[in-house]
Amino acid sequence: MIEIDHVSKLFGTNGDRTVAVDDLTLSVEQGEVVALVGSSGSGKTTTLRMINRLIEPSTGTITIEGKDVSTLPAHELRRGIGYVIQQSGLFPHRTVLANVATVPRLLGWDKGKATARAKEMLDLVGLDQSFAERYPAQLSGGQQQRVGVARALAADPPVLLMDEPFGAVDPIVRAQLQREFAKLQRDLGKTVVFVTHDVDEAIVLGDRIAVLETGGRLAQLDTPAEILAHPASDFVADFLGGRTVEYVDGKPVGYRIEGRFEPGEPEPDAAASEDVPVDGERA
Amino acid sequence: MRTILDGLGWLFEAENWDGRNGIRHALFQLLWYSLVATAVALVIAFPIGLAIGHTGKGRFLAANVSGVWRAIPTIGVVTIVFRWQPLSVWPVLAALVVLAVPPIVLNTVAGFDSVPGDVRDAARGMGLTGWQAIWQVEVPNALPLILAGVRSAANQVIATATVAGFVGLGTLGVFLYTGTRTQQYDVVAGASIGVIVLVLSAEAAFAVLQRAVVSEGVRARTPRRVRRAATVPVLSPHAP
Amino acid sequence: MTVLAAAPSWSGRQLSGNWDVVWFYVQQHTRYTIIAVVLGFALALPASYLAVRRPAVYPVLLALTNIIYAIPALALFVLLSPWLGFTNDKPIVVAMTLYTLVILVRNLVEGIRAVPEPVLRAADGMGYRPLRRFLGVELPLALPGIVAGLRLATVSTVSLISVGAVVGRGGLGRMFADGYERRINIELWAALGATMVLALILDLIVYAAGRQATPWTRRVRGAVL
Repeated sequence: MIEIDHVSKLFGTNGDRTVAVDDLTLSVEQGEVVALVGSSGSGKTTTLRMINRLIEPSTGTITIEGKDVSTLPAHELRRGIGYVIQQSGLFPHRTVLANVATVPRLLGWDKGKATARAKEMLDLVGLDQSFAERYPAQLSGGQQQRVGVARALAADPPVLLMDEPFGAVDPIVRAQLQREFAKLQRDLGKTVVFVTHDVDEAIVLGDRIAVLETGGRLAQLDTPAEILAHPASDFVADFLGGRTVEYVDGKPVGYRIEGRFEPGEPEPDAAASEDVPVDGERA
Repeated sequence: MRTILDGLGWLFEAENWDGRNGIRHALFQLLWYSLVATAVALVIAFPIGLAIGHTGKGRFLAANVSGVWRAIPTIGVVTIVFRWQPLSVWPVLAALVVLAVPPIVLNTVAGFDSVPGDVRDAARGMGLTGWQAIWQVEVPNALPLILAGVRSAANQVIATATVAGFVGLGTLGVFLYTGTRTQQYDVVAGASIGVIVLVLSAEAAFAVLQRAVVSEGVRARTPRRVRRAATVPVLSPHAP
Repeated sequence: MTVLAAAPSWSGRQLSGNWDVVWFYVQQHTRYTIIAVVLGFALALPASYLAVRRPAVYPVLLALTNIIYAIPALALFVLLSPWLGFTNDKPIVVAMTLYTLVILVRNLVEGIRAVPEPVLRAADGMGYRPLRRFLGVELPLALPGIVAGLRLATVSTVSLISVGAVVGRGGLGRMFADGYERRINIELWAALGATMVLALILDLIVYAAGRQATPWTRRVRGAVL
């Protein structure tokens, strides 16, 4: 579905270039969730942003459903891809409903249809309709993230790109959002690429994980179980921190971590989370 | 204190309002020059501010202009311009416009800077074109600071137009000058009360405009720390 | 501050020979500026202390300062004149003190509010009492904002004082008035140049003093971090 073919990205001028992504080739199947993990400087966010052309590759091509993404006007391409980011990026000047209806309106849907769809999306992400007329500043971090996801899905795009989507909320809310997202994905079957520095999140949510190392090289691309069982290099093994997979009926259900030092980025400060009822988003 | 009361007395004396040298004419002139100069300045300055704020280029220049601009004494500008072209008010009006441009540019740039980075990224990422992002997302969120800039510019213009009374621009400033010359301090007091009333009315009008035009969601948004010193909202000294 | 009696007068149409006039007004102008800014700063300190200690006061204070700041300098001078005199420069200095006060209170309070919570809590934990904490922790950390405000106040004051020329006063402004009335163009240019150079010099002094006072904001060269 998504083909990243020998893509590189270099920043800087002739004398002083940094390689953000180094000859990356990977493909994402339809309906699959691929997690991009790595420490800072590994090019994971750069890679994600090249898929919807927020960054242009230096070399190589990216195709979605067989079409080279560089052949479409960028804004048209992006209207067909859902985009969720860490700070949610909700438009402060618009109500929740108007935010969710953004892409449908851009695509020319009439107001009634877009509004109805937006309301459906609120249900989908577990937000009560009373949130519709509120403004983002009046929502908690977890609620904002839900609206962000609703907004990304509103126009029913086949592809979803997520950049540390649950990074800015506290661990309890994060776990809950992860669970809900997993269920959503089971229902909707979108093709998802998401970036995270949180290895545990990648293991839980990803059908396959792409481990990137500093300098933007692909260290390993495989299912979580395979990577945990057979890390391709010391780097990958260190990065995953000695987790062993737990199986039930031959299916991986979780993992155990040995008491080992885990490399990788420290977690970002969770945004001050306001009152968050763990299971009470529906007022 | 008595002078203040005399001033009020002069202001309220009906016959002082009539005629070419009357209060009504002077007040009208002041209003007229202020509105026109502010509007023209806005038309010139807003696109510049928009270009710098949206693209991020030219920021260095903008920052350095503000320091120089604040040091300019308006009485100097007014007298020099009028000595150069004594028979026409247009050069002085042009000076009013030029002095009003910097606060609008700088505050517009600051306004664009105050739009959170994630909001701008999301706008692009969702497929808004450049213009759509500017008008549908960035401007509405930059509005509080943009309006502050226009307000600052308006105060600047009113104050400078008053100073221009010194060279004969027919605003309330004329009364200040002639009143001092003839030691009619009630006239002087009254005219300055008039200017103050005008300014405070303008402030009130802007407050109403702010309420009407700025989205509730933006007012509720907690202000983010603006990181670059160059784009700290510019307070106009409004009558240098 | 009534110096009309001693003021030298511009003679002729050349700058040479009139440097004493320029120098006289520059001194006067500088004196007024320094008094206004220093006094304004001194008054801003307790005002901001109050505003920080009692959050309820701040919105009222802010509204008041906005009103004062919106009033054109000229009108303010005039309105202070019935009490302070119509022919001397006292109203101008008082008005500029007021402006400086207004600018600095805003910068001070914002700067103090920006001091990180953990720092304040650490100070309390070490036994600082409120006033000492204000003077020893909050103020120093708010310095960059204060310096920015002082620079703004200084430059604005220099240019605003001259506006007094419309009502017959105003330091270097008198040179504008005189040059205009007697049609001596060079005097106008001399006044403009002197005003702007003075503003620039005073601005630089405040900037330099600010950098001296905040060594922690300076970039460290070759330090092992």
